[in-house]
Amino acid sequence: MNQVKDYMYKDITSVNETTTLRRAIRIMRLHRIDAVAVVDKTGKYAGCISAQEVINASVPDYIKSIYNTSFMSRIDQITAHLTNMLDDPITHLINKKCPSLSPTDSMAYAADLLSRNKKTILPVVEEGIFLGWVSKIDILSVVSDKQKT
Amino acid sequence: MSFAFVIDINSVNIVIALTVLILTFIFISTEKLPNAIAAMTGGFLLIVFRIVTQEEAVEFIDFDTVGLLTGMMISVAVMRKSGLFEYIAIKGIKLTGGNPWKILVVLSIVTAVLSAFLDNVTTVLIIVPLTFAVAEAIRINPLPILISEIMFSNIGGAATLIGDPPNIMIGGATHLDFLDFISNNLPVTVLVSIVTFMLLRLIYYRKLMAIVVEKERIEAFDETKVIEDKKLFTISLVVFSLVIMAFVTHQLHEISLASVALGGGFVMMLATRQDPEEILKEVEWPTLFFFLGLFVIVGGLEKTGVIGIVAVKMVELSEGEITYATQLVLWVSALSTTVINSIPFTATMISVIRDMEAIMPGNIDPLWWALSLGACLGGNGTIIGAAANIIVAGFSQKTRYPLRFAEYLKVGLPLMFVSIIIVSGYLFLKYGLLR
Repeated sequence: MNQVKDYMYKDITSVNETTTLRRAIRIMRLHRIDAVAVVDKTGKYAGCISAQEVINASVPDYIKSIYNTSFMSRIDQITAHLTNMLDDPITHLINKKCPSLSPTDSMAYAADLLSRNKKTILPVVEEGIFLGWVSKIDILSVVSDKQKT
Repeated sequence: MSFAFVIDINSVNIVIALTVLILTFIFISTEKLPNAIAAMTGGFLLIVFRIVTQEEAVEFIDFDTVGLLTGMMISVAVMRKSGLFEYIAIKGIKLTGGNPWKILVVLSIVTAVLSAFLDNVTTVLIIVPLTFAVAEAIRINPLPILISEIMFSNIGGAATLIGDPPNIMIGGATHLDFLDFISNNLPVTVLVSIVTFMLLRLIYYRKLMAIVVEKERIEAFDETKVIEDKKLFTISLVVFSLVIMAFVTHQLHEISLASVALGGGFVMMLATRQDPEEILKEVEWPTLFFFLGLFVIVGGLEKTGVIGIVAVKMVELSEGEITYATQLVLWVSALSTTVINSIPFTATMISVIRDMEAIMPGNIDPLWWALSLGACLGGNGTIIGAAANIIVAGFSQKTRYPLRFAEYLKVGLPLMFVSIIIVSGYLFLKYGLLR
């Protein structure tokens, strides 16, 4: 069985609740991943914050209610909202219920969990300790990269 | 002995039916329960308590109203996909050149016109997000525009048979057709609109015009982009125009409104090759069940004789004079619907007016117009007066500009009174003096 622990990307960089959005985005850019893990004061995994959620939060509700926003293609309201959020702590952006994997889960289960939750990346957690990530590309490499199996 | 027993059963039935109706009104008006659940449970209770049988319950349902509503919901679901409504609104906004007062006027007129043909809630769900988009683009406070849109959704809805639920119900229950509504309600709603604009100008003009807006940001809107599928746009517009024409020419072909609306809806789906699964999901089933339940509750009340008693009282109060009765119905409707939901109110009043018809001499049509205009415009009095108001207020709470109860009341209530005074004079002149 192809297990998560054999394919995961081991990166334990994490932030805490009081980190600013600016810093969280910088970490995502530096590590070239779509999300960053959040840990509490005792170092336990507490959820994650993903680029997707940051973008969702920067789109105001009224824009989400417009059936077709193509007429606004030359307007930059969303980046303006995002700019306003940069120096706020990420508290309200943390997804505490972000689905996670354990190192002994199969990669097949990881694939299912990713597609069900429409995520690009999932955290790997063992007994409250954050260990790394499994991304869509890691799943594809299970079949393309035969040597690993 | 047996007579006394019969009386007793009947008074128990009256108490039960009234309790169910009042509880339903309370649950709906305080939003403690979703409308559909309150009404359907109420209807169910009347069957459980043997006040009505299932057969009677089905007979009480006005399928003309339910069919018309369903048909319009289907057409609107298809038309929404075409981008037609956004196109009209954005085109209008660009014509204003970014002048905030003109934006208020244009968006209010678009709201009124769309409301005259579509359900008010659908209209504000389209217009209000666009209003926020415009207001944010040119950095103005959207609240005056939102308040005006709420008022004009109810004013525009009053103008036609299909504009507002009370009118759809009256149209379903009476001989009055689409053209009758146009000839009676349209002139007075235009008059009310003009006066409302004049008063809103007094209240908001200086506040709105105090800001220098960046006009380029309005010009950056591109309305042509919202029409992704020109064929869908054209066909749905053509079919909808045919449906409206069929409403207007009802007297020539005598096909019921419900058949026209439902037929039109499905022909539109056929002509634009829609997936029924997807479109029928857009039909507001909770609203339809809300109506079904209400018809059963009001029917049960009618059967117990309560409605008849209210009708006799109203005729007595107006001394059997149609002119007085008209004013009575108008003011009772307007004042009631500022706080309670106009749909159950209208359902009840339709039964009352029908019973009044039996005991009042002459033509009672003015009573229907009083009910229609009172129930539609009365909704403007408070933020909870009509479904559209509640939707707009709810929507604004998630933004930086939450519309508060008191802020709306300051403007809405006086303007509602002005509109009812205008209607009162109109009905008095038309059916009292110039009869």
